[in-house]
Amino acid sequence: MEQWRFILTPPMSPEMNMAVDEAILISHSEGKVPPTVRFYTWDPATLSIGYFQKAAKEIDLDAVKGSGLGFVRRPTGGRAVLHDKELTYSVIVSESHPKMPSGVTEAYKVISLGLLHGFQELGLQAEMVSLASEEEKEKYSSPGSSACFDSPSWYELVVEGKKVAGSAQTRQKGVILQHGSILLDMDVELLFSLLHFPSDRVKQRMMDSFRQKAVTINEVSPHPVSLSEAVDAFYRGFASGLGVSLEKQELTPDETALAEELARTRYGTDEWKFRR
Amino acid sequence: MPGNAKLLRTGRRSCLHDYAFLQVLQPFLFPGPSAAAKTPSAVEQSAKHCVNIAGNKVRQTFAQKRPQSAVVPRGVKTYGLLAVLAFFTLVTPIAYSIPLEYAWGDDEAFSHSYRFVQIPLYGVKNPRRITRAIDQEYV
Repeated sequence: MEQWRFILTPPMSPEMNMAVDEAILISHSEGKVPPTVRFYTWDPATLSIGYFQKAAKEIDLDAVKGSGLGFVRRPTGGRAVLHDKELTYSVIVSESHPKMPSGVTEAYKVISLGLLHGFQELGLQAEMVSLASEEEKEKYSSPGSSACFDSPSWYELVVEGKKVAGSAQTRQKGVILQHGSILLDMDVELLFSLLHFPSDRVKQRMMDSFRQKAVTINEVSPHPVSLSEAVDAFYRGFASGLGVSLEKQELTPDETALAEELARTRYGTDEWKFRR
Repeated sequence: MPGNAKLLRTGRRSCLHDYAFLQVLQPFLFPGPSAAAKTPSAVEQSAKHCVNIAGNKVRQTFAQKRPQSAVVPRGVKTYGLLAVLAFFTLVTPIAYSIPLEYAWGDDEAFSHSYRFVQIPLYGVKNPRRITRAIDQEYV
């Protein structure tokens, strides 16, 4: 069985978390490290926004600062995510890897099998929903808020019909980086207090819609799931879902140095955070 | 024929038409072998005069609209066309050889946002439509 690398990093700052993902991507593109699955958490809890999001327009930056949250722009797309009570995962693998289809959603589906198996390891009835029909697209389409998690994509992981994980991808240097959030718990009020809305009425409507479409592990699990339990379950889930053997390793010194440089020169700078 | 004479006096604009009309209708208006003899020479002279005036006017108009300086030499046209073709022939592969880098979120499955759109290809500021084809290749 093919061996991939597994890295569990300690809680890191928002800029370091993004920088580490990109450092692994660069190292993998140079053939220095094998395909990698990484699990991580955030210190402090952070609001991340998608690569193309307009920070000032969509995010209440004063509220973010006032809540003591970190703030970072991801290299991947998607919308705002509050990384608080969650396990974040990233998968870094070459586009040319035999297991990886060339299509975005197909590759997303393959990687998401790891998530699916992870949820099943936790005893949850997770399933991959294919949104092939127009009705399904309409049913699950986003109501237009800036928050992630309120609209499943073409292949979406759902538990009890609700979205349980949000993912995003980027492809650079011939390498796929997909990362995403596995929600253990979620403070919906806090998340929506960080986003701009035209009016309180719209905000309330979005929040109601969000609650109907997104769910956390601990809302559907018959017993409380801790972070360490989630790590164990998804470690096994990614191994079986991807059909690989995951070997626990650390970041290489080169990756650490590169990540620190990227955090300093890119992800930690206002130029990057507020580029839009 | 008083009627024809009156028609010819209606103005310069219709002179050519009137003259042609007269030529066409002549056999009907003046049937028989003696038609030519019956054609009023004054009418015909007046019609020819009108044609001359109209012809001069047409020449003047064309001369004004196509001054010599505006005539494009044949070589310039050819080289211009070749330059445009060469530009697109060279630039298109270069543009498409730029590594396709994109950022995508699963909540944007129906509106892919590719980093490639940041490149103002051919000066298009919002080339989402250009990337649509690339999008289709990927999805």
